Amino acid sequence: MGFTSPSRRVPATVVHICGLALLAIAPGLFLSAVVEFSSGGDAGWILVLCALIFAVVGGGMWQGTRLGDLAIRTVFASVAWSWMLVSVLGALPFVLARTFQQEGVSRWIEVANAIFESVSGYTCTGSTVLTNLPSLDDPDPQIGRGILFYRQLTQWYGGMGFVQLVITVLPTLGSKALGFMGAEAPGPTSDRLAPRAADTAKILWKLYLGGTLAMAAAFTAAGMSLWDGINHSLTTAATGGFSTYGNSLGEFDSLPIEVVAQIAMLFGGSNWALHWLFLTMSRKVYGQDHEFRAYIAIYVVCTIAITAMLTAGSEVEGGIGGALRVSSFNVASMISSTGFGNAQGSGTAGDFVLWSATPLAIILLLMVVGGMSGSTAGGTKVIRTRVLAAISHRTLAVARQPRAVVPVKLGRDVVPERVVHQVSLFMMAYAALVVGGFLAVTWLGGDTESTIGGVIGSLGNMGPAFGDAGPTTNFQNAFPTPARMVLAFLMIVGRLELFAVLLMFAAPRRALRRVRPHKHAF
Amino acid sequence: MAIDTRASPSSTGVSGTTEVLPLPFGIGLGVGGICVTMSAAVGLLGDGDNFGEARVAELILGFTTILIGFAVSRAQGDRPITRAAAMSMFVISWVAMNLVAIAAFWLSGELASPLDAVFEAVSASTTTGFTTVAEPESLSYSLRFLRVIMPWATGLGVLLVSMGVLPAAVAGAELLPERRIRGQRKLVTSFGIAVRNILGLYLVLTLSLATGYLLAGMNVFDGITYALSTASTGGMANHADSIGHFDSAAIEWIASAGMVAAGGNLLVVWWAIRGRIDSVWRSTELRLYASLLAIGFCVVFFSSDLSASDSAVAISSALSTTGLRSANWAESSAFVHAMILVAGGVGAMSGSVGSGFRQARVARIALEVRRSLEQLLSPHRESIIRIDGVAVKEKSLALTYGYLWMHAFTLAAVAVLLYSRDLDIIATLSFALNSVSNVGYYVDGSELRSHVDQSGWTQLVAAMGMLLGRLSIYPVLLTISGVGRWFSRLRPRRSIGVS
Repeated sequence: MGFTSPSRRVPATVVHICGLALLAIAPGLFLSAVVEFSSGGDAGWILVLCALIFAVVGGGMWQGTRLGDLAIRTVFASVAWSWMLVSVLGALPFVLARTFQQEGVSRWIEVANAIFESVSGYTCTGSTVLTNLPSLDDPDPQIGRGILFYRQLTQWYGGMGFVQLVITVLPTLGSKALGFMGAEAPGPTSDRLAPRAADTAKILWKLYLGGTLAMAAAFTAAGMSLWDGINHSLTTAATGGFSTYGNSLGEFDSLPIEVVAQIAMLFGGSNWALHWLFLTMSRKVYGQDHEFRAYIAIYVVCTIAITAMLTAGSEVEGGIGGALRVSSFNVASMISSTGFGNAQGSGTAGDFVLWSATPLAIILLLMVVGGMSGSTAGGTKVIRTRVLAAISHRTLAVARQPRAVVPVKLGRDVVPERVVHQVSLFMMAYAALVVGGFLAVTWLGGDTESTIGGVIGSLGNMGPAFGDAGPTTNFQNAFPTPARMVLAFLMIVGRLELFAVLLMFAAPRRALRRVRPHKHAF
Repeated sequence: MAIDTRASPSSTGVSGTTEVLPLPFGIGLGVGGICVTMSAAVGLLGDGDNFGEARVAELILGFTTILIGFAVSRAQGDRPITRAAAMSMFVISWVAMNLVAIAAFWLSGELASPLDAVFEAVSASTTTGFTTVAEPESLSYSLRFLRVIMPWATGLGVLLVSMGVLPAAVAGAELLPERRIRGQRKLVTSFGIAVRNILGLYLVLTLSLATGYLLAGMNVFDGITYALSTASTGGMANHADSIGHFDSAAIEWIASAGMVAAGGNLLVVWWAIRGRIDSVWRSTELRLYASLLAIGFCVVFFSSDLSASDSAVAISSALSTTGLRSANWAESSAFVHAMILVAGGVGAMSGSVGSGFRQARVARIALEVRRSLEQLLSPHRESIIRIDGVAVKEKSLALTYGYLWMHAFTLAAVAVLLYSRDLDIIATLSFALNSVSNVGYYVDGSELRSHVDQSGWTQLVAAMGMLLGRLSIYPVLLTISGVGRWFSRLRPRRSIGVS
């Protein structure tokens, strides 16, 4: 049996890209199986089976089809469907290994929890429904290391995006590759680092791999074991926030680890193209980039403000030092949309749900703003916030001078009207989704506080929310299962920056319409 | 006075202060004086010998400010003013009216501090309804009347400006798409006729409500004050439990109907009166308003233990941004909270006394999102947005987005700056949202509160939020920037050369 010849394959871009995406996940599953076998766990064969399923199904979809229509709607739909498919099928190892098995919990809810965890992983959100994560003191963890490693790996795949990974091996896309990258990349524009989009994707993936290894080394040097260092570097580079411990980084209670994590989170939340330019071209790129300056300024101002408020209200132990430690960590965690926590348990200083309202309101705003465009971070992105501020300023100028033609400017640069319009549109759709999500989740049983944080956090791929879904608790107790499914959907919508998912049904519908016989065929 | 639709660099904002300042300042003082005088008169009738000295002081204050206002307004030149200046004039008159009201509140001696007087005056004059008084029943008749006549006066001012002045100006062009419908008789053909029509409609609504309240069992004072409060969407109540104090379904239904009418576009009411029912039904904004009312009512009624009348009050009070309460819906499910918070954020129709983000803007944004999604599917397709059959200009759409972001930034700033350790995150967000939307209550735990007993800083920030929300942000920012420029011109310039 050989592969189908290209001329006989069905032209179906969406299926073709989905197949490749599934195929890209298979090596990660094999690697997780190796980890599971080497640690003596009993889920090794399950992971091998899953890897084979991904490889066979993905290979079949890839080889049975070829690229067809490459219109923008098809590009968006391909990216959205591949994310949807990988996120949902990615739950298979959790389902087969019964990772979410609990007394009194039905099999359906187990499956729903597995899907939630998988979606949260691939979208780099970091919200979890796992209640039996190990601790450093636990000599006999209930979850195998292979499954834990796969969980961390989901975020690493999702961080740079597996469609981008696919592009590196797909030469036939040509100039359309940039469209796929744009549909998946966070931010209003995607930077081109090389003449060919495929080369840009390769550069970014190499950089991502290098960054991850550097973070693993830094974590290990700061006091983590090699196992913990690797696992946490995978989710830090991806700004995902899954930890192998229930108390997240708070489990280590180590200032050096928190400092390394902060730097790494801020690194992950900034534009990766800037990192590349820093390494290859100029040492001044960070200072020259207005979005990076705004990103760091937000981090510094919010840290100072929260530290001052926590100190003034004596809300945390340890005076100004303790306040600075928790505020700087949580601000870095939120602005980069990573979602790591440094609380050593419920009720400790880093548990920000216990802070007073104003620091929490700042955290909520950080959840909305998120990281830089071109980063692995979520949120609406710093650049968009700056454009919105410039639009507001222009509106005021036009109100004062109705006949004036006032361009929207960022520093000295004029923002093209097309981008201004896109940013406005994105933010309007984002606001509509927040309101819609808020109503839907409260209707399905979420409480007001958890829901506000949950919806904004899910759309921004943050991780922890407020109320019962804070950094030291998990989403299983905070939201009923249907509400969690809505939040999972919002995570995908947020990761793909809304439009890909909103348009995902358009391309298949058009394709079906073409297949259907026309009324006047005879 | 004529409004010049052109703008010249030299006469925007209040930079041409001598042209802009006297008339609105005088009008503001005059209106404030009339409100205080009327309140003092009501107080003299109702309070008898109690608070006698305070009433006399109020009368003196009222008459004096009327005279000063009249004298100041005479100093206005007759040069045409610009659009931006017209907006600044509204802000200036509002500030002047508040100065009088603050003085009256403080002179009464019934409020705890000068800051309370400022907050009470701003809350009343922005038609918000927050109060620093835990038991309004304990206030004199005079102050209770002042708390409802001020929003009524502001409501009239808002209607006159939005229907009579702003349609010629930049913000008005986006606020009232309906008036451009071909073949429709315009409500506003000249400012004089506008004043007559608007005042007439507003008075009819107020008198109808007062009659309804009296027939439903309120006494004369309560009937009139609650009618003023309902028609203006002010939400100030004579009782701590608001209209829930009467525990009467009839009163609650009347209040609901009144709030729905007050939150509706006056132009649509005008069409209805003129028998143009087809125009009424064709109004996109009205359909959206009616849909949200219907959906909101169903959500509140079916997701809580509230009666039908209480549910109607809850949703109409939020959507019209009035803030009257008949039952504590904060004890209901989170879905009810969410629905009412969203309704308050969206707010009333344009061309009404209500506040909030406004239905017209929501409709435009929804249509824009739909258009953009269609363009993503078919990139070469060019389409224009039509509301009620009329094409909306792209520039006008851009203004709507600009306003949306200004609104969002204001909301975020108020939420962060409130800084009250007594409030949890939901109470803070609810307080900030309802300050900017001028709703007048917030959810604190399982309690629905209008009473604000926070620190002076929190009160000041909330007052700023109420002001920005009530005046649709532009005019306030234009005035502030104009004042800044005026001051910068006063600074001595550095001489060039060597003396």
